[in-house]
Amino acid sequence: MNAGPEYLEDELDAGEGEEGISESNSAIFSLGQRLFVPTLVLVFVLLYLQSTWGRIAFSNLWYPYFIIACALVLLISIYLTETLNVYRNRNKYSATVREDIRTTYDEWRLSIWVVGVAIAYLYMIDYLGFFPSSAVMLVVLMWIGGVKKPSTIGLVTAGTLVFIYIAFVTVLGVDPPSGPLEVF
Amino acid sequence: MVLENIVSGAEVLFTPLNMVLIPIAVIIGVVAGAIPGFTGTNTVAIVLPFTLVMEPETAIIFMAAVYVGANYGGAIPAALINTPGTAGATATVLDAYPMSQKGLAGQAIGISILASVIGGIVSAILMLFFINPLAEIAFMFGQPEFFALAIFGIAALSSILGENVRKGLVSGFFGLLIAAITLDPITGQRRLDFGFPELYSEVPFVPIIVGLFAISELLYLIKKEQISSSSMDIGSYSEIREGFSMVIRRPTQTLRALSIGTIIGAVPGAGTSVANFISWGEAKRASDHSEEFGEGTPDGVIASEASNNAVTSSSLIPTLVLGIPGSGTTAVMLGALLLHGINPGPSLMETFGPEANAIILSLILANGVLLIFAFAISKYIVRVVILPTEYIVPVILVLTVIGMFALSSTIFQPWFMLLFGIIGFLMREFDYSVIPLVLGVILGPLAEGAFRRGLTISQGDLSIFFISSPITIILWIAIILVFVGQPLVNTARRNLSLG
Repeated sequence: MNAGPEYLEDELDAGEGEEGISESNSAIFSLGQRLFVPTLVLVFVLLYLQSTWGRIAFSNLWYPYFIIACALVLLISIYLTETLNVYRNRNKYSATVREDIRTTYDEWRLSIWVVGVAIAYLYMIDYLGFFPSSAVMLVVLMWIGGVKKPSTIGLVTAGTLVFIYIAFVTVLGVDPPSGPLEVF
Repeated sequence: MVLENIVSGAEVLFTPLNMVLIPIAVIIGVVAGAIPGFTGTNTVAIVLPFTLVMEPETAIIFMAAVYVGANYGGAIPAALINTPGTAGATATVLDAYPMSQKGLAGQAIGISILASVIGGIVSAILMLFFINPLAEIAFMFGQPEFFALAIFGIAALSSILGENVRKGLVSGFFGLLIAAITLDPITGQRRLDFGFPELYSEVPFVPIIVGLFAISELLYLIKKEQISSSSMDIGSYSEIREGFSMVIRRPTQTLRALSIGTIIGAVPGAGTSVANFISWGEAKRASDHSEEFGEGTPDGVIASEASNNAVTSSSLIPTLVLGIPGSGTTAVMLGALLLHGINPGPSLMETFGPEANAIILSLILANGVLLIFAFAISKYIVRVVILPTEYIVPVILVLTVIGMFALSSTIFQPWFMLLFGIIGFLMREFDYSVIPLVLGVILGPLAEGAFRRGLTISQGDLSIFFISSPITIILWIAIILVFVGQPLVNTARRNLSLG
């Protein structure tokens, strides 16, 4: 067969029980990766139970608790199989946790930056207003992304904000948030 | 009846505004679909806030046209850089890219265009014939059936999205539980709203959709300097036209592919990503030259492209008549329908008949527009693939933030979007599909309402959800089959692709 897209082949090559195993990972890190989402869901389930148990009549909780029961069965099953998979293949893992953290950080560095800038951006909107905050965010993110030419940064920033002003403010009638420090 | 459908739909569809918006939407779809990894679902999710100011039917027509464009757009990088722009174009890669390597890129694109257009148009015409009878069947669904159907929809989607059905189901049940954090619909007691008044009455699903699809994608895109570094050239227009004639000379292959796509699209949960593979496999099985499949045969490209665009139309059937989406993209479109006050379901044809028919007719029109524009602009759209991500990411981020703000004029929605963007990124990173989560959030209120009304009817007897009618029994058997059948399907897919 002719070569298909790489990810497709990776997916097809993943055998039963070996799914996602990478020799460049440590066992504990790999387990953490595999159990991250189930743990997130489990925490949500526990918060839901804490918030509703004994406070709302049980007859009104049939539906969410049915969903929770189904989710818990699946979560337990995933916890068991993932832990077992990692345990069975424990000899295949070679890296240390420190190496794993460094590798993951290197891989996610730009994504983390985007999240950080986005959080700062949303906070800033309350103080600076939408347009000044957006201008700052656009400049910072382009700079982080590697655009160093001021004229290009200025052009893209101005173009984007003008487009938003025309499309959202003028045409759609949206009134973007304005902060106490907004200058225009 | 069909003529009535056409007339009533045409009255809604043929307005000057729609005539302007449909070509724009198709172009947006083609451009976004051509960006590898930027799926039709992502694109439809991003344009969703822009439709807020449109009339409901215009909004849905606009999004349907985007969907049609994106489905074709995925074929461009599939043919040129060995990477499908959308999941529905995955099987397209198998033959379109080898064709390009042989210097037949123009023909591959031409085949993709015409096969997509024929698949989409014929499937939409079939929808016009079948939507009323199917809506009649949908009237047989009561509360227990709708509850079972909602669970089946999530189970079916989970089974086809990845190797592990349990992960998909965890994602789906997570979505159902998120939808149940609002005030108790009967007693009004608070459940798990984290103190946010915005979550009292309903969970805002649009920021969830945009966060999970668009923002998480941005977090991936930023890691790449540009979307692709491969150089690409489609060739001349005459080569594209030659691709057209290759499709015209192969009516059987086209008909088979669009039939498969139409049938698969009408099944809740089975979308383009399933249809294009099954169609490709079936074309290979039926061919006298099966050894040519995977080596760059036009039949393989037709099989994939005609089927995936046929899905575009037919997947709207379960979405419109049952309120259960047929794919990830139609899940987003279901969200759009609800956002605009159109409640899909058995009574849709009575309450929003002309609008529903207009949506179907718009698919035919959008495919016609696609034929013209795709032919004209495909040569230039390939440049999208080499756009630097350092420009795309900040611009889309600011557009999504203002789009979310426009939803309710509060900053809560952009924050909610960002939260789900992060959750979506982590879920994708750890191999959990986000589509069942979205479906769970959207179907949650429907499922809970059906569950509680069912319990009231049965006076607390839970068996009503399992054995009250042949439909519920069939649906629960189907849910069980999803668990049993998925490993078998995975094995078959693996054998098909490796064999």
